[in-house]
Amino acid sequence: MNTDLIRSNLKIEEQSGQPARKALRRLRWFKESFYNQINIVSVDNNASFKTDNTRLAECFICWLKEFELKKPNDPALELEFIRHASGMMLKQLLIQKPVEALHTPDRKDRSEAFTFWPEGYLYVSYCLNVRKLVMDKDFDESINLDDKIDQIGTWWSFKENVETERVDYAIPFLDIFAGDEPRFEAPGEFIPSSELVLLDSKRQSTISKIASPKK
Amino acid sequence: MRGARHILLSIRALVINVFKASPTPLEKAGLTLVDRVDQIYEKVDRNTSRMAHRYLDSELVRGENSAVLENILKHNDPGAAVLFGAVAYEHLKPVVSYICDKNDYEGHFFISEMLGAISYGRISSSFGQIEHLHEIAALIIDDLLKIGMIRTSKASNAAIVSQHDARLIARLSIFSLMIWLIIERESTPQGEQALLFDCCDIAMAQSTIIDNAIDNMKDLSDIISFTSRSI
Repeated sequence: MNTDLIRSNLKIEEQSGQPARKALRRLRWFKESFYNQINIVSVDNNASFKTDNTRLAECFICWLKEFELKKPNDPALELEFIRHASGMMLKQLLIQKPVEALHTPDRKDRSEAFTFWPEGYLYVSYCLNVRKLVMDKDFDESINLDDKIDQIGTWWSFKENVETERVDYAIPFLDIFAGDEPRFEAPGEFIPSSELVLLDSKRQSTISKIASPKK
Repeated sequence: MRGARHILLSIRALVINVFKASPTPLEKAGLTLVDRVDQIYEKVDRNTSRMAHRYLDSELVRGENSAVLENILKHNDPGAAVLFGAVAYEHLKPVVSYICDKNDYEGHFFISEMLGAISYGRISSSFGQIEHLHEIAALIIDDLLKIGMIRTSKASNAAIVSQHDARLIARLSIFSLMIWLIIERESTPQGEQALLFDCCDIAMAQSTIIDNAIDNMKDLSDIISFTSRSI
């Protein structure tokens, strides 16, 4: 079951002495947590990976700069932004590709996500675990994985879309995996749900005016 | 070896005091003296494991916590300059080697402990007027690059040569070193050496921005501030 995706050993708060959402904005704790996740995925799947630390640092810096640019001032939007930020991390991992699977079990069954795409599986696993950790520790919220995470078709669609269409789709796909509502329009932008409702009602109003013009 | 090192350090202190009063660029005779002193020291090579071993054994670093800029600043001249030169020299060697490896650079560099000390000595009087550590770091980076602490095999200042790779490696190396000297190092899951290489990685991840910021003190100071709080 792909629910093993959220098996982790992230003890960032204990190690860093800071809330997870702050610690993860420092390279040393980001690397520590990422390597922890590699260990777990490797053990669970009898596999091994090679990591390029320079690419990992580049992934982190690109993510951090985007994070600081988009972070909302309104504390009420923090939880929503955490979800978006975890998708941003998945996007950067897919862009920088810091990890290469060296050895994977010789399974003929390509209907397993890990066998199909070991690096993608690792990246998703890491981002889901970080999302879960921060939501749990800092917001007392839980993550409920969607059944789609066990459907290989979802993974095929995910890989195809981020590799051939646009890598920003990593953000709504992570929402799908996490059991949240995805948004495929302007996926790279952080648009709070309250603004989405407003945009939607404005759009509906515009459509009504066009459909029924005043005589 | 300890006796010889002590004599060399004394000579360095004397030379630093002499050259603090000299106008830049350094007089030819002074450079000759500098070169003569430095040739006694081991030249930089690409053997990372050997240098890592030497780094760990450095009597300057072990148990002293002297490889921290805040602590170096507490010393008076010329002791601070001598200490800075030695710390910079010891830690630039693995840094330069690491960055060369990551960039598949085959050339050789030489690192001058003496020039590092002279650089620090000639600008340290202005440190007292500066509020933030990252601004002091920017000043030091600027002068280390100008004085040519890292040199090519043809003894040219690597930070300003026409060859882009060599120039960038010298700039990123000095930047990485200074980041490491100012960051918080107490909470390190991986250890000091790994953290030093983290500084190199984060510098390489921002190589274009750093290269563009080198000639602007405000930009350089800002990127040092951002980078140091992000590690």
